Amino acid sequence: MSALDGATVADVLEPADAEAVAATLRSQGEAGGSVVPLGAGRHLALGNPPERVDAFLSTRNLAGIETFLPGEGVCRAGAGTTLGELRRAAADADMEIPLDGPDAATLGGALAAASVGPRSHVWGRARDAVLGLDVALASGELSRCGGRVVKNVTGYDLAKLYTGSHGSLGVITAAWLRLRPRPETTQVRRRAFDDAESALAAGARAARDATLRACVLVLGEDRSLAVAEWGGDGAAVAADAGSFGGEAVEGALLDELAERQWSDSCALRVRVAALATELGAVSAPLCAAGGRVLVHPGTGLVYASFDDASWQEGEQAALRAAASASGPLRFEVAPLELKRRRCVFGAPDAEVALFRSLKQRFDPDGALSRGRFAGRL
Amino acid sequence: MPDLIAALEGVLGRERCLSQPEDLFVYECDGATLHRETPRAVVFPTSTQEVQQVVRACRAAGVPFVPRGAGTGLSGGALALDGGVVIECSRLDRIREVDPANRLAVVEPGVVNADLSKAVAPHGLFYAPDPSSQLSCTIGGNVAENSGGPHTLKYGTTTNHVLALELVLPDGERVELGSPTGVSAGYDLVGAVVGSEGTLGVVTAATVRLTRLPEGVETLLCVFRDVVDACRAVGAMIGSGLVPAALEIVDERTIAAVEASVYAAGLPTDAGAVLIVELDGPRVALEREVARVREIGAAEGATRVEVARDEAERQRFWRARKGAFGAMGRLAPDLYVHDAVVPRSALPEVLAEVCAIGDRHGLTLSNVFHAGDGNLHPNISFDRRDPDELARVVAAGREILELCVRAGGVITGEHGIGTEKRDYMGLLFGEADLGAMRRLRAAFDPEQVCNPGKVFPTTRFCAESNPKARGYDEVPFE
Repeated sequence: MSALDGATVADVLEPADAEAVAATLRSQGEAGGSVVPLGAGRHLALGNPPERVDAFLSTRNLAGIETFLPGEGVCRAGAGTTLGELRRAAADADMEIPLDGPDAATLGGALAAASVGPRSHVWGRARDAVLGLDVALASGELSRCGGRVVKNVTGYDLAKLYTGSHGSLGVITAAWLRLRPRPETTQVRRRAFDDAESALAAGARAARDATLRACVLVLGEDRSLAVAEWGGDGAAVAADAGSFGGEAVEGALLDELAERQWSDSCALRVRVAALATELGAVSAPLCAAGGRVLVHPGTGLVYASFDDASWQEGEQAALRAAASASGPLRFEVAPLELKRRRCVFGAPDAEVALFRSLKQRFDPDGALSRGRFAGRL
Repeated sequence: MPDLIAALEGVLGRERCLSQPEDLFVYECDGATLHRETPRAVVFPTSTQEVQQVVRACRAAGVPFVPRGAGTGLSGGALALDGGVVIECSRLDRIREVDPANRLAVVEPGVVNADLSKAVAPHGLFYAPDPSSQLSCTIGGNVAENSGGPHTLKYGTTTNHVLALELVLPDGERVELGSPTGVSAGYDLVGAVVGSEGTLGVVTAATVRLTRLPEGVETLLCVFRDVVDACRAVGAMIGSGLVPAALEIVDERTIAAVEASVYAAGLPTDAGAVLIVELDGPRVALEREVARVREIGAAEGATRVEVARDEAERQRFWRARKGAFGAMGRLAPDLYVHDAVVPRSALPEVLAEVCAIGDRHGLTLSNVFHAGDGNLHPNISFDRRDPDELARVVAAGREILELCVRAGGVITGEHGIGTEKRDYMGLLFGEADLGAMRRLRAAFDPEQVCNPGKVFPTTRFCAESNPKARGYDEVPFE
């Protein structure tokens, strides 16, 4: 027995294969039930309280790298495969998987949540890593979209729809992904600043470097930190990284910062998407409210975490921050009380109307993550 | 239907609403000239509001409509089937905003692709997707087809550069999808619309990502005795960790055509193939990368590797590639530009078989292709007035697509499905797959008034082409 946002989840179903996933979805729909797809659970906190949830539908039996073709720059893996396993396989072939997220996250979960991280600056978003998906639909059918080649405009790009859909349109059972060559050289540097503005300015400059792979700013009221990674040709990296200043550090520091963000236990964590010129105005109210603020200047994402004592002030600060942003605000971790008052995804009404139209056609019986997604769909 | 014409003229005025046969003739096809349909009318809105009014008028009359850019498409996507109305977007041609600090621009669909790059160049920026038709194709058309081009290898396709869209839905409502940050608050509707071939609505503005101009560019021309050697060189270059901006191969048949034409680029006519390699990025890295390309080229049998000494020479190298289609005009009145993608490793075998298919059907077939991403363009020169030759062209086209699917590839990398390949969708997708696509379409256009008859097969059942039934999900080339 588990719980999800106040709802008791009676069971964890573990279908043996993709066909069993599809059959489970069909039977749930026919019975009026609803499941929430479950990978490693690293993104489970993000979502509205479920309208109904009868079971988790685990993808643990869909794990494994099925095809690995570094010469082609593609690989295929089951949805239950962890990002860590994929990264190790890629590293052995001097390649990398251009999908950021915690090592422990599953491929299906990372794609369903459109996982991002500091290296999304160089890799692109989760949808850019995907070449093709196998998806179990609520109708009980297994379908696929895209393919195994790196360029493809055959039919509608449904992979873009499923990626980031949080398991509300179908359950990803396998994916074809791009592989990228590992950079010849990488360098990570750390630099401290006396104030947030200086750190933001340094981050903005670094974001213009051709070899920048990632940059994370940890903002505080009286002290801020920037950690950045460059990669590529040795001479080019040395030139870009050298102009950043600070000190060279172990590469693992960036991964530790990212992991801290993903696993930070807090009462409230918000994410605001902003343009480069908005990052200062967006982060200021969050810092002022006492949040632990991380900024990814390369991707324009601002994260802020608050504890039990400060989350209500944090909520208000997030709304003020969002007023300065051109992108959406979402509440990635939030108390149940907040989730009941406010849709955590914050989508505009006109888009929600289209979301509803899609949801009605892909999952008319609400067998998938009922109520959890944007618009409480 | 005089009422609809009157309604459209009421919105746009007579001068921006064509309905006479002699005016409609020009709009009977796009770049895929084999497929022709006479539209009911062609209209030229100049604002989003006018697009909305046109869409509402068509919907009220029960008449479908189709958005059209410059008409350079190669799959019949801008064809007005069922007596539809063409919404010609060329006068929606404003660059509404350029924001260099945030590296984005907001453009209307009629903006010409190359004109956008030219407009933002003073800011040290460019718009990366560069279809070969970029001097005339429009952003709206690029969005519809998810256009690529030679520099897709490094920079991606249109979908990687569209952040947000303003869309007029098939019911006439205006909606904004996504955000200028590229982050969506829910489903990635921008990603769903890009590449939907104008079937989900009419794009009236796109917020696009601009890319910093690279510090340096080096362009090389590698000459090979054999196209197989050129393909192997491509694999070796990518396998070495290089990320070239472009890798383009031109085969001997195309070289012969180009060198006999006004596009002559001084290519050796005894070459089996030439490979154009473009590298860009920090200047400090380029010298080493050029040396690596030379080394790999030589190791894979290149008889010559030239590095462009200046911009004029760089343009000469590219003329060999970009002049190819124009050069074909000397060979025959018509040209069928095919488009398919195969895994890179399958290129040599597939190319050999593509040529054999052309020979078996007695056709003049040549190849140019984006070798780095396995995107083939077999080109067949023919005369449509010869019905026997036309039939052989169509038959050869089907065989080429079947071959590419057997090799693990897909039936289009850039041109889209349109009317040209809708009946080949079953080579790759079964009913469940197409059913999911239909659900997406129905969510936007339940009445199917927006560019109907495209993308989906016209045959009701795909059993004849079911990939599982015919074993196309096997990949024997691995």
